[in-house]
Amino acid sequence: MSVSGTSAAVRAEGAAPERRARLIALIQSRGAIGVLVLATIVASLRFPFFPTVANFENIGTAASFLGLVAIGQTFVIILGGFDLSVGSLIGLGSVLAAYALPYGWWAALLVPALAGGAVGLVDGLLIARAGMAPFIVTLAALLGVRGIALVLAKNSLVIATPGVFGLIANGQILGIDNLIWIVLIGFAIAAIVLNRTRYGVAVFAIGGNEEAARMLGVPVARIKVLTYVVSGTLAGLSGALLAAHLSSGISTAGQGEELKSIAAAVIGGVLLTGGVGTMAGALSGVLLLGLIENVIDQIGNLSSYYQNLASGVFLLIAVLIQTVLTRRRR
Amino acid sequence: MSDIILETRAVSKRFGAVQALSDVSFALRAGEVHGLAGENGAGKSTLIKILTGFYQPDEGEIILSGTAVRLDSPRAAQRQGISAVYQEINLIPERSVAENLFLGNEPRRFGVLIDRARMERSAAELLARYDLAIDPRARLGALGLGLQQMVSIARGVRLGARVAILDEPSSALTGTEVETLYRVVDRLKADGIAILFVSHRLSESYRLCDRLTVLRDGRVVASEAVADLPRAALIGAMLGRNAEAIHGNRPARTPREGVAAFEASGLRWRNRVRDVSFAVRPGEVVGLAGLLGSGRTETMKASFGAETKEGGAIRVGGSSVPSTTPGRSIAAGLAFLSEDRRAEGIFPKLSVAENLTATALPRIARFGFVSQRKQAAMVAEFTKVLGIKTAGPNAPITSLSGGNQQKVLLARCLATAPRAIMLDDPTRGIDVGAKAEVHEAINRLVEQGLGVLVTSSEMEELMALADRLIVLTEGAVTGATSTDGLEVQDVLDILAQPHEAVAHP
Amino acid sequence: MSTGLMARTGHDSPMALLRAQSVYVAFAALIVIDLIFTPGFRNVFVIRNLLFEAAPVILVTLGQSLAIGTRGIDLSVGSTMGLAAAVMALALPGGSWLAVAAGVGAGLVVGMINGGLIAALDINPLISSLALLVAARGTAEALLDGSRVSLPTGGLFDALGIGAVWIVPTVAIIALAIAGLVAFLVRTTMFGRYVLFIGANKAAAMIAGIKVRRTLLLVYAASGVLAGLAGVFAAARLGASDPNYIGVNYELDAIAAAVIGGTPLSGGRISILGGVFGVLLLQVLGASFIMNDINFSYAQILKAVFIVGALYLQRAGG
Repeated sequence: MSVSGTSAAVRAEGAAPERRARLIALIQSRGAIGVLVLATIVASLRFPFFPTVANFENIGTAASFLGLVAIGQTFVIILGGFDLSVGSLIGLGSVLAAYALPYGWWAALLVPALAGGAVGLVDGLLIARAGMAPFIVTLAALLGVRGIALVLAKNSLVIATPGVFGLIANGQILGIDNLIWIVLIGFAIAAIVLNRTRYGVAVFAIGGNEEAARMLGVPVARIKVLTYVVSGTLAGLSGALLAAHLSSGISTAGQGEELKSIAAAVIGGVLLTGGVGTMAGALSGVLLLGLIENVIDQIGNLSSYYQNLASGVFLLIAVLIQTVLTRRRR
Repeated sequence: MSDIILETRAVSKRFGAVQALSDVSFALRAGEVHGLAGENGAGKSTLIKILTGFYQPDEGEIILSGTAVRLDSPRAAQRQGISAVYQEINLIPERSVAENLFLGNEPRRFGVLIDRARMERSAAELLARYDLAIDPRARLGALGLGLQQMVSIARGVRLGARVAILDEPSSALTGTEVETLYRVVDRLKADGIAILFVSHRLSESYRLCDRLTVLRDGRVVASEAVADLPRAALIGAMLGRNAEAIHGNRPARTPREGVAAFEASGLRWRNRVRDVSFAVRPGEVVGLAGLLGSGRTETMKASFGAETKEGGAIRVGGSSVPSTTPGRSIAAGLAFLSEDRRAEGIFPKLSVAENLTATALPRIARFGFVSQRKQAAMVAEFTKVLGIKTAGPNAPITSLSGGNQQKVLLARCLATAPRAIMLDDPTRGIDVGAKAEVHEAINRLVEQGLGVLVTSSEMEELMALADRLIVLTEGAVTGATSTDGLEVQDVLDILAQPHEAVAHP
Repeated sequence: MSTGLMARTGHDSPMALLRAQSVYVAFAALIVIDLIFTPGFRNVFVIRNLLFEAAPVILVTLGQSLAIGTRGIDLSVGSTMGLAAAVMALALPGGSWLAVAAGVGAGLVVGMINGGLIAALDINPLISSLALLVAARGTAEALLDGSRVSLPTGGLFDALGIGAVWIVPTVAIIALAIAGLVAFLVRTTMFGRYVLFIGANKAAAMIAGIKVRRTLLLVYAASGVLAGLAGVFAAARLGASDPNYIGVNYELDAIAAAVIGGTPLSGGRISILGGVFGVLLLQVLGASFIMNDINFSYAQILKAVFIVGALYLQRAGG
């Protein structure tokens, strides 16, 4: 029996699977953008209310709070983790912003961001140093942080937002809402950080193969802690902006955003198993969810409750497709 | 003779009751390819883990370029210039080749942003130096295993490795990949890098190595230039007479005639099991003789259904087992004891009784309810028959010694009253007393008509147990012989024959 | 007989034993403190109310314990409760018994989907049940258009919603009976063993010829059914099916109770009795805060601390 025949056969087989693997990788990373474009076209043709500048701005503004959180969530998922605390941090952030506003608009941004970062720090230390499972740690944070927010403000705190603080959330630059600018710039910076810094490459490395990353000299624990801090900070900031936008600090704000942010990332091709994902994909996921909400809202005869169903089904389908695609690639 | 770069002096390492390494001294020279050979449990991986900073030696010292060093972490070892490539690739498959080569010290612009163009250029230069046709922008996981290993080597060199440890680098490579490996190794040699090469393929070791060191039971049993260590001597050193081995008190027995207890024909699995056929009669012990990596474990797993066979047929007691899964094999009367007690054997956290009865639950249960009485009886029976030393049936399995854990697992196999049983290196890593008890138990069972297929890392043991040997080389059967009147040396000679028919290109 | 229900604590070192018993100690201490300091704690209505609230949590904790025992997790249980309640509301025209059956059946469907994804497609339970958490809640809300549907008074729903034997609500009796049953199954059946085998060492379970996929499917199906019944109980207590309210965050309580009760997330061990006391501990804790006029949110914060603390202790125990 000759073995050289076998290895030649292996080599010949090798080329086709690689081409297929590349195609699959492309679908995984860019599929969401394609679906977003397609959905936009279909919605524009089907619903006359949809393709207007004002409506697109609505979608953008509404999606910006989720967008900021999704940036952090994407970092964490690529790292191979989960951050379930972000929804509660939006609530805490908005309450803290209301409390801090009397000291200045900067305080109303800084305090929520710092608080979010502090929660992320605790989460990160418990996960990276004490070796506890990310989902359970951030789950506890979800409970605890919401509790703190509710202790601080049982009902919503109405704030006056005529000054800079209100302007940040409700003003426009070059005719485009500031919130949209903020989230777009946020995603752009995040994409650069993810792909063009040692930190970003380390995040990919840890999510791709934590043991190997440690062997290759990546400071795994430090990168992990930092990533949860980033996620927490962005969630706190998102809460502050929400307070500015709604002119009130609402302790119950942001419920379910943790799941939506995970859904957005996954729909955008970020693998829940870690190590794979793009910011552009996550942004498409956010916009896709925003688009669905927008359409369902305006159709009128459809209950707004179909939003959750839609995002749930989308998430399920995305997870299924990703699992099948990933297996095909191997 | 060129300079010694890395040296161990009288290194010893213990894990609990097991002396993994004792008094190991050997030297690696610049520009030398030094082969490390040895069977399961010989201490190769412990030695490598000491050299790469995973373990600290209990005694002895490591000398790097003339000075004693402490390698207290893998990173420390890397910093000192010791780079290791494992069979399990320790890189990031989803990222590009260039990123993998430069992870942790990527070239940057403005002190922040990674300069991808420069990184990819440097990566291309590095790869070209080793004559590797790899696109630095390709996803690492898209490369074959062999090329991934080359990337790993290149990374080590880039970080200034003086010593490259290649741990079983070729066991999963295709023919061309092996050629590439040879080329890279030659280049490393020329660059004055010392190479420690661990391979289970003798032909490769002879082709590549300048010097071979053989470990057995944690000791250096041979360390010679390849010219002074012919194949037979090498295999003899690896498998041969062990001072502690049990001598062949194999009872005279006549296997029962008639239908085979267990039979495999034309078994195939990947390129590790190639058209393997054998039959085990009731009341007979057949030894599967072969070196580590010869496909002996894979043959058993494919027979049992723990790996999905890609061809061939299995018959147990004359009736065929159509699509094998462990459950169906057990139901048909086959049992299998894995060589890896921790990963594929015991259920930690659970008790001796729960571990022992795991596969036999249907026998002691009615309507799905486990009878405590029958369970107690079964546990008591096997505890007595196999001499399992335990504080009681409810003691956690992890409180038992390795030998007694192994007896519990053997009992688990026997509890289903199989017609045939496959024992993969059943006495690996257990003490001499327990070994003898396991042997006795096997002999008793065979008398009762059980058919046994067994492997061992020790040829002595295999000779003591088996009535007949089937010799496996690189996944194919290359010989069969009765053990009557056979000397260990005879088997070693069969194993040492170069096998043109199955030799790798 | 306490060790009877408390599956396998006997294997441990004294320290681990103490850790495993900590939930009972903590529960007893809390009761003593409440009896001394909390006004009105002795009131039978308080206890009865507490048990009403505890019943559905106990049910989902049972399913959760099974899932955790296989080294998995089921995050979908809370949403499954909501879906079961919604389906039950839709099936009301067919009579209350049919409605209850439909609710439990909805739980079974979610559990089978979850189990199918995990067992057949090898999807990480965390991920599949997370997706179902979102999808089941969305379906529940969509089915009822997000609105609350009142259940008819009298008959079956009253029996479940307000029926009690002295201070012990019917639903609590049912939940505790099922808990006893599950504990019995875990301890005495092949199924129970298989669950633990998979959690202790999945590769070894495969080699031992154990039907890993079937067992996993059964575990998640059981978790779904139990969550379905829990949704029915919760709706009956509320007197209405409210898809936005029923079961929200119950998965957290279930995980917390199981973990506090001594079922480690690393699998291979299940403590049903511990889980039941974990539920009671969390319920009494919440009640204590309310009855002392302390903001309930503090209880939530404390719950978070408890979860982290319990896990930290388990980690220290290895």
